[in-house]
Amino acid sequence: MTSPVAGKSSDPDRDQMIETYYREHSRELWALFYAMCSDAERAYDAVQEAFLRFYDYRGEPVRDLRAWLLRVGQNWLRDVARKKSSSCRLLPGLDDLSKGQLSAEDKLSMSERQDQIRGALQELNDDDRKVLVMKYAMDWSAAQMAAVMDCSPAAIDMRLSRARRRLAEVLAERGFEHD
Amino acid sequence: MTDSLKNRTHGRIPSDAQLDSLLQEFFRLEVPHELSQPLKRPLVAHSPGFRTDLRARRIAVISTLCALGLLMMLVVSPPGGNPESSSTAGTSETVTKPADQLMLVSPKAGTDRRSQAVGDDGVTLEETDSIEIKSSPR
Repeated sequence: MTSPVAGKSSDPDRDQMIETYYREHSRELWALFYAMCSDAERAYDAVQEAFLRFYDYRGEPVRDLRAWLLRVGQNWLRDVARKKSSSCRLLPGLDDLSKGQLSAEDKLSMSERQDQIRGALQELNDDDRKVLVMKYAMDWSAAQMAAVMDCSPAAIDMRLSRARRRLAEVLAERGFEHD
Repeated sequence: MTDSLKNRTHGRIPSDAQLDSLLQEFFRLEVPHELSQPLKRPLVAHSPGFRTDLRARRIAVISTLCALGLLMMLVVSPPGGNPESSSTAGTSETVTKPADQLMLVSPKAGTDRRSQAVGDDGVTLEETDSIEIKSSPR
């Protein structure tokens, strides 16, 4: 998307444009950042950081807002990765999703399964992980993924097939018990 | 399935359908639900207007502290250096007199005092100090 935007701090049109863009593209950015760091919270923070920095940006007009946001978010993730190490955590959304129907034991079990799958995803290379995230987190078509990865839809299908096979092998190696 | 693969695996390799279901469920839990909410822009920290106000406030606080410091220095100045600056100067003079006005010999006993004549005959304290008193023989 080309968006030559730069303006005054209190430009309501600019603010509205940013909020609309956030609503339409924040999930996509989250998926790409998640593919980088395999940490849902950190990927979310990277999205917030990128957009908030764009709010304050007063430099040259930005022609490709998506590329700008991606670059800022990636740089932020790199800085954070240097300072902190990722830590295991229980999923904060489990309580909301289960609506109190799951026992503490079930929640812990689900959290452990998430950790196992997350760990398996981290063993894949960046491109394989990216196509899996775009496919299953974003539900994107091959054509949409091809635009992001700068390749043909056929190449995306091959990569996706290879990534799924590799993930299945890693899960089996780790002794993952699936239903 | 190759032999090397069989040797490596400790569990069953999930089928395509199982993997689809697994990954869909995984990302359903993994994607933060906050992403579906509008961007929460902090009202204070990132606002340029806030930064300007903060700077102005800092300048005002520093100026106030400097003014208070100068005022304290003026108030706490030692007495006698400037009698007019002290609000109690006049009062102290009427209530207590300096010691050298009450006593014939000042307790300060400065060298300048000792060289000044204390009597009509012009004898100074230095001279009286040097007089030896000898008893007259009988």
